[in-house]
Amino acid sequence: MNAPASPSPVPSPIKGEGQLALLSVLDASVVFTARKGLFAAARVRALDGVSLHLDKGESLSVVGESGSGKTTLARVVLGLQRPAQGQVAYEGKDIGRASEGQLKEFRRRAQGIFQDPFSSLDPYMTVGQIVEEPLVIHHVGSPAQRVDKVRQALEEVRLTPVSEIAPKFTHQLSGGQRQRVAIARALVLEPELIVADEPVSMVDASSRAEILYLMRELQERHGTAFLYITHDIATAYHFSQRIAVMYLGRIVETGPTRQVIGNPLHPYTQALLQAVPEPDPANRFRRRGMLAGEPPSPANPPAGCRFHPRCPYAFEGCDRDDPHLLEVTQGQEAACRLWKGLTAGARLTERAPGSAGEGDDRKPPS
Amino acid sequence: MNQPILSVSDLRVSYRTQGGLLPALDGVSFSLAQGEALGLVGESGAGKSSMALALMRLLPRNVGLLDGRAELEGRDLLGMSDEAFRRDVRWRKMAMVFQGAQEAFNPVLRVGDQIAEPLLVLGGASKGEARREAVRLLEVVRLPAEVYQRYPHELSGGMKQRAVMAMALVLKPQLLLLDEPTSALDVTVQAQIMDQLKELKRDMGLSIIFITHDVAIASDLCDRLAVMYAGKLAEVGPADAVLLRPQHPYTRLLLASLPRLHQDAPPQFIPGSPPDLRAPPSGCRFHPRCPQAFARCPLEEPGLIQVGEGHDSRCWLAEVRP
Repeated sequence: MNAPASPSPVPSPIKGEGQLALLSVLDASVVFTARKGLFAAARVRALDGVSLHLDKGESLSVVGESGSGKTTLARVVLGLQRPAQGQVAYEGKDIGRASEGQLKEFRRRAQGIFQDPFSSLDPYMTVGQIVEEPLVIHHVGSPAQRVDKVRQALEEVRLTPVSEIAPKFTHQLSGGQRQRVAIARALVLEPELIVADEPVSMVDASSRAEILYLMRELQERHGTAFLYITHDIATAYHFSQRIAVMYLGRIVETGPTRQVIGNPLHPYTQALLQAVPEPDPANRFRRRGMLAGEPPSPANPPAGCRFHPRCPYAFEGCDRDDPHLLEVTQGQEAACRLWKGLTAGARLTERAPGSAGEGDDRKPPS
Repeated sequence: MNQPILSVSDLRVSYRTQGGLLPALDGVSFSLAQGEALGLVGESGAGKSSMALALMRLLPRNVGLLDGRAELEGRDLLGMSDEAFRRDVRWRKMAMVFQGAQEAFNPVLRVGDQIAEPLLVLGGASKGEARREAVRLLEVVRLPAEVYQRYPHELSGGMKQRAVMAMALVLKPQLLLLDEPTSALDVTVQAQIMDQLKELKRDMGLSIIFITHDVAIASDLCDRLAVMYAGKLAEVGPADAVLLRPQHPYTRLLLASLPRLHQDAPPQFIPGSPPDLRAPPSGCRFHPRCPQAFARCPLEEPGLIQVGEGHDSRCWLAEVRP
């Protein structure tokens, strides 16, 4: 490697405010082996050294496009995929080393909602049976109590009147209604954490807002923590307190949502924001696409900064030096050499003190 | 305004279903000017796709009723023979890009040969001519010429979407029907494809019908917007008027349901679901979900009422206003 000595990654703190985080992912990597041609095997690093933490009752959005690793991250957090490196800890306990009993307990407390409400729900079960099933699996309550809990859950997601909805099969419901069944199924166990992987990408724009509203309500009413995974940074803006933007298996920017959206530091975050269409008749006369090309395959990531071939601000060295996350402003981290001052003489500390790029004339225009 | 290329009047499509006749399109009229882009916007079940399928004569077999008129440059699309439609209209005058069309390619044929095929079969071109034309179209949609030799699986989603657009343009149609052409793509790629469509519209003078559930995407391309609800037009007008001065409560709610980056108000949702069209609500079809419904709404169905220059709203509130 001819890269200049690049500092080793600094993992995000796993504890929030001195207390144990509900969920912490520490330097997690996931490698898939894919067949490439007849004999060669390609190793795809779907997740590459990702760290994040989530406190009780907090919401974090993970935003990225195809190949960013966001779904792999969801699977890792839910214990459905073991990281090749790093660990996932729930209340400080490594779920990779948990016993079967502990895992079952974890699966009661952490629930998932997935993208496709057409394939994630059993077509031969009624809505009532689908929502009741987790209670049966985890031996919660008597049959009468279960019926009561199912009714409550369906009321919470506004699938009413329950007596009409519960006996229906999912093919009799709209996409938005199906996704609400999936939410009811997730919340019936009163979980502490819900991982929602693209829950609104397959529903109409008009029901999208309702699903997000329901999830926010759950968060407020029950203190449920949410990991919201999406390609749509605009929905993330209205959903979560913190945001992490992923590109090709890495987090490239993270921080408080308002700060990241209001003052995006990474050029990729800026491009994502610019790509969000607003209903404005003047759009017809402007170009919205800021990036050329598409994300490269994670099987063969570019050298240096993984974003550099598409980056409008790439400069000398971006093709060699792989930047890691560093804190640029209070609580906001970006993995971009624009903020590193490397060409102007390396900084001694990874974490730059003070406010955003003061005196830094290479600040990307926002 | 110049001569309309397409005019649709009182179009009706009903499907036979187990629960009875389902009127998916219930008397829709509009016209499309040369070089204009019209957005058909609405929730699932509003009738957007039925409109496109009716115009392309691709309606499924369970159609129980097809009525009304649709004229392309004065020729009746619905009445002409299949043979005449195939020979003169499909691909030549009017082409369609379907939702998820990236998967429409035959996986074992080269992309370029698939783009060139209609030229050989319908256009009477020689192999060399067809090939040159396909390469030229790849250039038009900003794909490198070497894509001609590629197989579909070797292209990314955005490249496939561009190739599909090249294919639709191969016999130089004047009208393009696009049904959710970007919904399967990543956001940054979606922005690129929309930019590409703007370019095609400007440079080739294409007329476009753009079908989507997302008003924001429609605003990216469309000169006029037609908001559909439960098989009818709820509001139609110039994009500026519909987006900035929406008159129908449904249009206002659709706009309020979008998550905006530049305002703090969280997106609002529209309570309830679209009605079962086999037994639609009495009066105005939107009244059960409408926050502004009043006594007249469940009793009488409003027609389209003019609210501005070329701007109509199917709502009794429009009549109250001067």
